[in-house]
Amino acid sequence: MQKLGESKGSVLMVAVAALWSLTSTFDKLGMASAPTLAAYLAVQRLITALPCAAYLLLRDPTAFRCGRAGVYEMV
Amino acid sequence: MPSHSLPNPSPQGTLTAPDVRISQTFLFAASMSAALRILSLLLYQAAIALSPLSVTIPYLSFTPAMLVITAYLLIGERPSPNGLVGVCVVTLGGYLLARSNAHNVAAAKKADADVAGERKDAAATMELGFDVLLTDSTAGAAPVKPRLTGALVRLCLRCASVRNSRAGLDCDLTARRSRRSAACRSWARARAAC
Repeated sequence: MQKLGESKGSVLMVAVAALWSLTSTFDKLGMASAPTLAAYLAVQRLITALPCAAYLLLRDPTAFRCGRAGVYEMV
Repeated sequence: MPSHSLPNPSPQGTLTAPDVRISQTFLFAASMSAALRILSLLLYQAAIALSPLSVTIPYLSFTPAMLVITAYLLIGERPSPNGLVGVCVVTLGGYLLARSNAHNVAAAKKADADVAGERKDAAATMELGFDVLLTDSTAGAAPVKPRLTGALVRLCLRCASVRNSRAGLDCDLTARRSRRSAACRSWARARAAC
């Protein structure tokens, strides 16, 4: 485990592995109590997307601009 | 004309909303899963930004090993003995892969640093030669013909520009430009030609 501590990215990736193990367990728990598989999928994705969208809206409101002006600005 | 009357809708035929009952466990699990997923995505992006992919990604093979613990603690799920052996093999393989990749990346970085040092030395040597050339051709006892001086300076400038572009150095040639007026004109012509 000596090599593991040398790289900060490796430590973060081990933390990601731990979080993924937790999310998998919560996913199974939620699917067991959900009315349908699609319902759990939709609710989980919705709860994931809403904070991200709110953060982006507060941080950079122009990120939601679309249409011709936005495309021309990107070019 | 016969009249067609619609049949009376029976209670069994009416459309009703599907029975969707959302329990607290369902909402709690979905919320926790979503929150942890957002956090894991942030950490994932930070990890691959900090270290090479070949070093960081194999550590994701630790997931099954941690899943054994979390699944037992949260929902009481126990893996079979064969499953445990498989989890150990996968985790150990991922760890050894990440370790060998980290060793290779460190060796490659050291080799790159050595090559950069050699290039810096070569560029410094070329600059020194350029300096001597300007001094000898302008202030020496035997004057060099302007055409020959221009050709030499042009050649030297090309070599120096190649070396400098490789080593990422910025050799301050304009300071030397003001030393001698004759050399300055030759240098300007050579630079324009280059």
